[in-house]
Amino acid sequence: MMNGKNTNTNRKIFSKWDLILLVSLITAFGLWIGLRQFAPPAAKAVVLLDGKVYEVIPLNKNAYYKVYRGDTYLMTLETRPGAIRATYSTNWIFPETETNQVSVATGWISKEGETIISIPNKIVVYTEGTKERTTYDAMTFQN
Amino acid sequence: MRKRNIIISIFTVVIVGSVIASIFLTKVPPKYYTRYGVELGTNVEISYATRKGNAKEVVDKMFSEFEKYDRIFNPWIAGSELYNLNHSDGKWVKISPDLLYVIKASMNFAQLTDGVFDPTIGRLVPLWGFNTDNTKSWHLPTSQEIQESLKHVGYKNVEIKGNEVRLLNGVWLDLNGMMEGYIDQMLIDIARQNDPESSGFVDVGGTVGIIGPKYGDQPWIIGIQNPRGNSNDSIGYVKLYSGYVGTSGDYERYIIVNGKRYYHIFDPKTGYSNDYFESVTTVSTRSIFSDGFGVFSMVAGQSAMEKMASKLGVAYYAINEQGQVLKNDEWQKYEYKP
Repeated sequence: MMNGKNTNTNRKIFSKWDLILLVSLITAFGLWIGLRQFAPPAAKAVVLLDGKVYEVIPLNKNAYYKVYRGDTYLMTLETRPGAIRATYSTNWIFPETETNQVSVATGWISKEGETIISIPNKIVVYTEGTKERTTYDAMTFQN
Repeated sequence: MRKRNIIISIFTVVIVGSVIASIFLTKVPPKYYTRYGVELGTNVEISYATRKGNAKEVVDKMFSEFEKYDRIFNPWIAGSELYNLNHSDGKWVKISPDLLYVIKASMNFAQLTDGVFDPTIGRLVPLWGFNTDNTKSWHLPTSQEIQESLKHVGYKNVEIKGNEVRLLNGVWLDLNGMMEGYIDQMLIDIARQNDPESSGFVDVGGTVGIIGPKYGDQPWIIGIQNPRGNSNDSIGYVKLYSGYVGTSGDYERYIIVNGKRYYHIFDPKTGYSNDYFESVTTVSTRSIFSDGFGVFSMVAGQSAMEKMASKLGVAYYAINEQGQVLKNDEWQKYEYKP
């Protein structure tokens, strides 16, 4: 009787496998929360036309996209993994004007904080979820 | 066995609860709502965070203000308040508080600079075609055309009486030299009225005003666009906890004729642009100076710029036509080197 009682009292609350299971569960839970909170989203470009989201383009392949206002062609965008650029832009108000295409001259953008802007067409393109972001938060330029 | 299971359950609940609590109780930086747009013929970016949780609503309200400002300040749209004033044939015109404020600020700066900064160069702008995005209309006028327009330039032709303004001698006002800074200031007021402790910045056409420090105690880093680079290429940086930064330059509205660059900031004495600087960037606690000082400097040149900077207490970062950077001692306070 004495032996049996002693054995019961000395029995561990957690076995080795209980502890392993518990630690695994907590680790998995922590990782799941952490990934949800801090994992970067996939790289994409947001195209705004007249202040509204026109298209969200995943930056995961080589492709071309065209932007229209109604039936009027405005701009061609080219993507490659992680980057986007304007390859051609018309001037919506003055279609005969093809010079001074600031949007095309901007070239590839690949960092968060960079933009492609066409003032006459009221188009803004910016990236989200890219690997890098610009050193600056905003840019001052001539008014 | 049962006791053991209860203890395991309690232990698990305590651990998991602690993890969850630590996630939610850890001080996370405020989440900024950022909106881009094209307004008033230029690009706009507003980034804003508030503990009140209505950042999007406030930024949308700020964007809705642009329509009002376009109807006031756009001198090239028939029916706008400024258009009507410019075409009022010398009569007294009652004007809105917004327009009155910017006209008064422009006139004060014109007096301070003895007319080097002059908001009455309005007739020169369409003469060169710079009032439109149609780049094919940008051209070099004849010297006779310029001389004729100069007859209608001169800030002393603007009279103010209460909330009425009269433009004499056929002058036209162009308030671009101060309008963006003023709008920055008005939008920042909206943000602060919503939450005095809120944070963010307003960028209207490259004039950036600070709502409040980043994350409450960090500076915002503002890039200075390389005047000979693309629109994302910065040549320097400034760090701002408050105040305004603005830039004037020769690189967006310009033509090159026979190798000479002509741009949209005119010397009110000659009707042509001067070739002192590629760009002048100004930091000031006052929005009207962050815009107006750059225009003044582009017209007046280095020596006058240095004297006026001391007088106004502004910091400047200028790039002359040889590509050399000029900056005053005040600039050291704001310069950021990554």
